[in-house]
Amino acid sequence: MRKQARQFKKVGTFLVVCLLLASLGGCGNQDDIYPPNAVYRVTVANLTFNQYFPTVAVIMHTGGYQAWEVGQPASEEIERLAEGGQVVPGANSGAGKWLLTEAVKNPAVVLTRLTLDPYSGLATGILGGGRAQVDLSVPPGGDYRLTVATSLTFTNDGFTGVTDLAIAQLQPGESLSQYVNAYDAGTEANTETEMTVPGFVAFAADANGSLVTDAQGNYIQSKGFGYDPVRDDVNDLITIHAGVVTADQPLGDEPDPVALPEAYAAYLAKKQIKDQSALNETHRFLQPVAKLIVERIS
Amino acid sequence: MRLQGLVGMSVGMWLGLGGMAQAATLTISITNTTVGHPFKALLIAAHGVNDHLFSSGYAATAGLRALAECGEQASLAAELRAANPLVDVVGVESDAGLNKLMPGATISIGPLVVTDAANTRLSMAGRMMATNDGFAGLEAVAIPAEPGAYAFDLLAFDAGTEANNELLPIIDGPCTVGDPYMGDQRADLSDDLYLGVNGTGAAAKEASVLNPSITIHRGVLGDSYAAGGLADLDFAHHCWTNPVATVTVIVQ
Repeated sequence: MRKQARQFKKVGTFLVVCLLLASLGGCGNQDDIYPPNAVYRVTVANLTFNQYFPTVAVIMHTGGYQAWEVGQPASEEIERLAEGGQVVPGANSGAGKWLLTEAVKNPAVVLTRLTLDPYSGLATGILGGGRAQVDLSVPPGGDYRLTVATSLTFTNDGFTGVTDLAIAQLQPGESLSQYVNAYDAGTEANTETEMTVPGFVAFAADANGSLVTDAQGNYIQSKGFGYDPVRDDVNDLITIHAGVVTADQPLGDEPDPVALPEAYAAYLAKKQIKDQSALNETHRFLQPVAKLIVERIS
Repeated sequence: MRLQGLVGMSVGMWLGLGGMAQAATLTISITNTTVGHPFKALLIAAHGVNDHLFSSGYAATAGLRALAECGEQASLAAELRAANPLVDVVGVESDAGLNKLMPGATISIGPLVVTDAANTRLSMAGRMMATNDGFAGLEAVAIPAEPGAYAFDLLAFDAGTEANNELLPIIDGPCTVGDPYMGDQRADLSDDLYLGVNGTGAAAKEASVLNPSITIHRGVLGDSYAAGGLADLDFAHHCWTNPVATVTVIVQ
């Protein structure tokens, strides 16, 4: 509602200016009073082999909004995105902060959208090697910037996207494209277990394979828990993601613990993750992990 | 280094045309920044905004597949020229007959004369020889309008056309177009001391989730066994992080 009110105020100001200009011959027709919206098409290509991107949040805003900063601790909404892939609350999420529910409270945010399947038009995530897009139609002339964010589903707390990307310089027919890195939110230890990686989500079933419910009638999640408010990563800071170890990681020979204690400790740390990892070699990725294309349609 | 003569006859024909924009002349240096991957069959193209040497996130063309799996560049050059006869394409063979750009080595190519004012994009692709279907690529960057020296990075892409089993007979075996396991045309990797033999096949899980799109290469799995193990590639020597090559483009 606030957003609509702001737009109305802008149009109102415009009308006053037009009335003042009317005697000078300006704003002579409907097109001038209601200039056509600027339409931007945002396309995200998932360039990983097998890291599913859940539905991508696309936020159009002006200066004064930044969803994250590398080297700083993640907000709760980025933690929820990175650990669980959620940008809006689910049915039984309880209280909390999500990327889109918080973004709309910021006066700099003009419009929020989710990526759509180009064929069905429904909100969709993106498989490795796939793409999704969404159009954003906004009043022309704003100092527009984009924030685009999604998570890497087969990681503990990996996410990708851009924030505060300037697009106001694009003229109709122009486009920009850039590769996008994966970040580690720094909010959850990279254990790679099926209990903590949301890609392995599963629900409790009885002996017949039927899902069971609790007293309130809700399904009982048994694996793939995403968001956990506990912060147990090495540093509570957003960094470039170093990649995943996976169960298929070759370890090489065991270093001599006496002659090479540091190499031995690193070997043991990697072996521990390899032994418990629910990921396989297809989940590996190198940077960058996505390509972002922003076209100004009109 | 020698130029293969892939620059079409159109160069001379078009030099004097398109008077509204001055044709740029490019001198390009490419440095292989990997530890263990020679490049083969580097192809460089100046092209229009609607031409594509390759498109990440989409399936590879037959020409790109031949380059990525086989180190064969003529098909891709022909594809590009068939789509737009005005593209400027240069194919590079390096290291005098051995036909590869070794790790750490630099080659200088040029001058590449951009003959059509509409050729405002620059792309490159070269096979990464110790992979199944990996290639180093530069994807349609804008050619700077101002004269000067500009730096670009090449990323390692997976063409998505062959399972990454990392087995020497497949990677470096005889090359047959149409064979799902096209390898190089000759034993180009015979001087690589880190290669193993008799692996059983890395990436065994790949077949069930084969991703046919061009993606950023997820890297080599490798192993530490000279004989046997999963892979014939070495998990330390044949790994990399992006970028896999640095490029300097001098625009005149």
